[in-house]
Amino acid sequence: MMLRQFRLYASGPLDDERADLLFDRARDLSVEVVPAEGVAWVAFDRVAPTLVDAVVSGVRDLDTAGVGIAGVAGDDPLVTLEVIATRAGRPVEVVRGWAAAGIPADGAPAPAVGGGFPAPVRDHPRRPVFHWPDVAAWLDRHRAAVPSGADAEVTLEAVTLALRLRALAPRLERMPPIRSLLY
Amino acid sequence: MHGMTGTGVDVERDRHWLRLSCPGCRGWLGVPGEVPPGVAGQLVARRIDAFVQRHALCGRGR
Repeated sequence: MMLRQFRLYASGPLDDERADLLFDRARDLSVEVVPAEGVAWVAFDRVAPTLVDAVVSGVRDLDTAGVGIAGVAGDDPLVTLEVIATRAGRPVEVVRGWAAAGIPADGAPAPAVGGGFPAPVRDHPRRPVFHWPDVAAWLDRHRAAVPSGADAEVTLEAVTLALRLRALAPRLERMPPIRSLLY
Repeated sequence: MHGMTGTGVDVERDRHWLRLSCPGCRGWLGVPGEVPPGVAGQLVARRIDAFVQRHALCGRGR
């Protein structure tokens, strides 16, 4: 069992009533709504044997709460030092040291330009937040590579396609022939 | 959660989950109201930190 982190984008309104239903069902999720951009998503921190198990169970959570799903996405790119430490498999104190010193993980002096640990998205004295793709690239360059996200992308795309097919199913003349194409 | 003071977001605690709202754009974040300390608490704190950063420029400080 591992921690699986991903997001499901809502296709319709995500209001307090639906959030109540989601939190009644699970405590390993968060809901974020951006009215100005017309988007809302549910982010999951779910322990499951595989990513696909986690995503499918998340889909069931939204189904039960009456929240339509527009798509599946990877985790929020903004991460804390604790998240970086977990993904890098290092103690958070070590990661905090990297961030503070701006030196490579292998201890070599940082090149004058671009060699230091990525700067936080915005300076914060106690809770800096970093852009994960930048940090992952830095880790990869400095011998602390994290697992590739390629398999995760395939899983997320497959679930997205399945959800699109599910949405189309009521308008199809017959579903079984379509389903037969999968095997 | 106590670290939210001064971050430019409003926190409502009248539900069994917490709602953090951006007074600038009306965006909001809902997180579980009670989580055990440790990893679960860190994961919720991370969601709050990311939300605060996203709304740092449209909150009260603008």
